[in-house]
Amino acid sequence: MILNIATYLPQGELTNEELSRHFPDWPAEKIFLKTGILNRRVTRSDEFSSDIAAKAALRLLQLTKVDRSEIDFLLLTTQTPDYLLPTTACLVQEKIGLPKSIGALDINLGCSAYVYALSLAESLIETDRARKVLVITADTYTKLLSPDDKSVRTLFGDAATATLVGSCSNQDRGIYVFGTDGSGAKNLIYRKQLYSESSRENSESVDHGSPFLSMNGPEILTFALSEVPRLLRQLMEKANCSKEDIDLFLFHQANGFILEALRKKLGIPQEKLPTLIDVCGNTVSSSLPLLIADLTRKKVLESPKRVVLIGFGVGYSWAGVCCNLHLSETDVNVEGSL
Amino acid sequence: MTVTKEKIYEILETAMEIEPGSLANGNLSNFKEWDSMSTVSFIALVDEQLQLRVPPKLLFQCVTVDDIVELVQNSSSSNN
Repeated sequence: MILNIATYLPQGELTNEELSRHFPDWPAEKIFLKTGILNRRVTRSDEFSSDIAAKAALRLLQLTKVDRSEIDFLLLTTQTPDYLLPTTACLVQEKIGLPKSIGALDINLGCSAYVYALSLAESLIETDRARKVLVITADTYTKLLSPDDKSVRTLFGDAATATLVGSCSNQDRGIYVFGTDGSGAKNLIYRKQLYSESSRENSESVDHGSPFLSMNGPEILTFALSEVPRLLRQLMEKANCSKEDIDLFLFHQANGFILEALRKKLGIPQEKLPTLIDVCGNTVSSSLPLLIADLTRKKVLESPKRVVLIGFGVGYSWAGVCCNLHLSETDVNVEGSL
Repeated sequence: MTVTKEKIYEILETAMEIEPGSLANGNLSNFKEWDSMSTVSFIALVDEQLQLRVPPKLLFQCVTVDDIVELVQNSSSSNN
């Protein structure tokens, strides 16, 4: 179960006003209306995933005063590793002074990564391979974006979070559902690779060689509108409960438009589907822990809540968990500007 | 039940943010309002109001406004 969360947002900012100067046909108000985003945080050119991951983790260690020797595993979710190799989790182990006895690995997933990482952390603890697990999310998607691609520059922001996961009673154990569909890979992709596309037989004739992230927005929306409702149905069945039994639906913060379309389709009341997209944009694997930390700071989780966390996106990959969340203000270390 | 052409025009006008009743059939390339944002809006509105799933790949292949009408009328339910 989640014990503590700390967050880190880089200092650079990209506002709608700045974007509309670059894309004059998109006024700042229109960008907000369509995306629900006012501002995004951006890493410096010399600031990488391991740097922001370490900052979030150090804030967590400072908050919890947990003895580093109690942490047996570090799981780091990122799709923007500092290097193709070595593993970013290894860099972070050294940066934050975790003992050499820990296991550390990266999870290369995006919007679904946090739910996968929580599941793996719980499994490590339940099987006595770890007492406490440090889950770090860190992505710097802004480094992958074409300056001239308004469809992605208006959405993505950089962020990192650190979550301390500890043991829990049976009743607090999460109920998980996972899903994968690689046929959607081309709809959100960064094509820089180790082999040339022409070396692949039957290579697809899409966007070869682009040095930037490419997103097919209509396909991503269609995927979300069909797969998230199915995932929620499966989760409710497995957890043996109904939507009415759930206090809060915490969805990956893709953008305001997708969240609202999903909310309407699923018939979820506005107050049960909180969002945190306006101040930081789509922060990929960090969006769910940022949202939980923000709700904690607002004392929403002071009394125990039955919640559903759902991540969905790049891959395609998706995952959901139905669990209890009970966190008080002192359990999180959230930046003032969030 | 077939969705009426008028209803689909109404949804297109909302997605493209143009005056209600102002849309007429024609080549989509003549509408500067038909861009990536309005395409996304249109797919979401059709799903919400008509419970139909418009495949983006086929939507991109539409040349005229009435091609879109035909596509929507032949789309399958978005609830399964």
